[in-house]
Amino acid sequence: MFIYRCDGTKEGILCCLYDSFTAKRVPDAVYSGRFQPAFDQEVIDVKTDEKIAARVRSGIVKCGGISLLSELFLPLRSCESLRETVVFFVAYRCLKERRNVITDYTDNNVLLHRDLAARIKKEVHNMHGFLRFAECTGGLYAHFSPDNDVVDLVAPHFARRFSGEKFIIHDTKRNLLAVYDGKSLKTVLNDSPVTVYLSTEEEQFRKLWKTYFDSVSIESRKNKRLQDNFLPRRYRKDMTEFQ
Amino acid sequence: MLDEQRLKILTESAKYDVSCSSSGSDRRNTAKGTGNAAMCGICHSFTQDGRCVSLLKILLSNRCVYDCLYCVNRRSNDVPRASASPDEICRLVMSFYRRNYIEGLFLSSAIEKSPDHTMELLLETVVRLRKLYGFNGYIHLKGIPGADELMLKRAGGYVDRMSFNIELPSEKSLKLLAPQKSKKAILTPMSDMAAEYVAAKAEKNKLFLPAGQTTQMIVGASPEHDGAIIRLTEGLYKKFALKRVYFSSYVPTNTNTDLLPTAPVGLLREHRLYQADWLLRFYGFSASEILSENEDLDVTVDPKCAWALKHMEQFPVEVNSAPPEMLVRVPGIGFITANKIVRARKFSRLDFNDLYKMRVVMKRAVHFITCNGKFSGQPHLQSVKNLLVLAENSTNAVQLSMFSSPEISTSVIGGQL
Repeated sequence: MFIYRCDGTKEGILCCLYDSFTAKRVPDAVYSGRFQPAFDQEVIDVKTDEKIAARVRSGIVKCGGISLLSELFLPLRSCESLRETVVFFVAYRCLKERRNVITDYTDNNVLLHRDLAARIKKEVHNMHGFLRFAECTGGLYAHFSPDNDVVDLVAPHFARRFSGEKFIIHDTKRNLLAVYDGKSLKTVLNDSPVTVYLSTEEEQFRKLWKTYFDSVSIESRKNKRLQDNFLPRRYRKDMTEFQ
Repeated sequence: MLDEQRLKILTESAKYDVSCSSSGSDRRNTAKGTGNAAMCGICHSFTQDGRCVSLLKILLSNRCVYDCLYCVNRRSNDVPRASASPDEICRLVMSFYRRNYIEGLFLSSAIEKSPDHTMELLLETVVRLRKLYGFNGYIHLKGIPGADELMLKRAGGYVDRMSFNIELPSEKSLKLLAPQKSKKAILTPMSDMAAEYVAAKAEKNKLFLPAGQTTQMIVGASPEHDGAIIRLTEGLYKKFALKRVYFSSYVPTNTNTDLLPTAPVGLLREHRLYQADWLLRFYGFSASEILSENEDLDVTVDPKCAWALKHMEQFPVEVNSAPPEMLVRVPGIGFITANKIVRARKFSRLDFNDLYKMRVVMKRAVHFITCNGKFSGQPHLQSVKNLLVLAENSTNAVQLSMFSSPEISTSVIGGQL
């Protein structure tokens, strides 16, 4: 009865796997950050070592190629605390059976893995639509607070779309900024408050957008529950039309 | 610049058009341009009626010379009128698009003066957007029936999707309710565009309506049966290579006529028609399998259940060995779950518990499948039917509260809910 504690990165998980296979022991769970172990659970700290991680990584690639690797680690971006555990056990089974088990939907961990990954993909897709930019002096600025850590997955879509324009996408929950200077994208951590100056036209277009949004709805078919299903209320605080 | 008042008028006139998808086009951004299209389509917001906002849906003008009985913008209606210039529309699209409010433009217009004149303005707007403003986002253009063929074809080279509304499911109803429109004037350009679309697809690097054509018809304003509507729909898919047929449940907007029903048609009929449409497009069903010409769709169960109940001789199917095209015909198993089953059964044989975990809708599926030869559904057709009707209604259940109406409370006590 023990738990691995790692740094929550891909490399951290890979090192937990290494320890599990070499010491021939299987944990109850894998965590990063703060958690509450059970009364009888020992906590084993796993240090991240790039060399060890690389070895395990090539082992996983042998099970299912590079594509398995990226698919496997996607749920680490989730906000759910069981993310590391789920990724660990799916990877563990792949390595143990030397094959890709990511489509064995009779396995509870695989099902959980799929759910976490699906929620992240859904959120990325949603944010391609729900993000609202404001025209500021010096470029476009958007703030949002996604459930999962997706800012660097959301940003490339806008870099393709607004080629040559500068923009910043601000994840206010994690204080992350995706910055595009018209040529390349980078993600930076920023703890200081961000101040932007709106362009003179901005207010006018916001008003027009709200007018449009209100008048395109069909009054006799009002269905707020349907609206809530598609557009969760927690996202609305960052959206122009709900201000 | 378009002011709030005109924007409001032009939007309210356009909002009854149901099509709002922005999918199916893979138009890329250019070096100095703005925007691209996303193959899967993107919803940018959802209004209070639960419909998505993807495109800026707007009319160029609502000053119509036609007098179609079902339309808000008919000539004899007393509603505020407005029009916008092509450049005003372009500027609005660009500013909304940069702020990520919209995925593109859905442009339509009332027939101002003549079809040719109207089409000319629409064409000018899209050419301006593409060439002058460098816009590469999604454009859905409403074709004007009766406009010059060359103009329509030219527009097809600039936009992603075009649609000609067939408005009503039969020529007779069209004559009665939209006297200035004719079946021929609508279908001729549709078939011309379809030919061009198919030819362009064979060529590389030629963009002609990359997202194809769609159409729309009003349901419930005229007496056609669902069977006729579904047959018409199938014909449109086959003959004109349409991407989608939209149905819009009739909403009374005009009261000054006795040719139209005064009450709105419930949304259930529209919902069932869309379910049948899905069966046509994705599930490999044909119209004659779903229902016969003079029949209406069953309101108590969905069309797939209704089909399965009529064809019990094909069931139960063994989930561990059935081919995918048969799995998707099982009520309660859709595309995603069928795909999961096919992939998972390569690892081990599946039992009922595995299917639950894979989110197969067991209250429907259980009567139509076996797992490892085991069957645990109802043996009698009538009891299966009753249970399916119950399963359908349970999704409409409401949580009782202190303030629930007396009818609901008594129906609970009576055991009807």
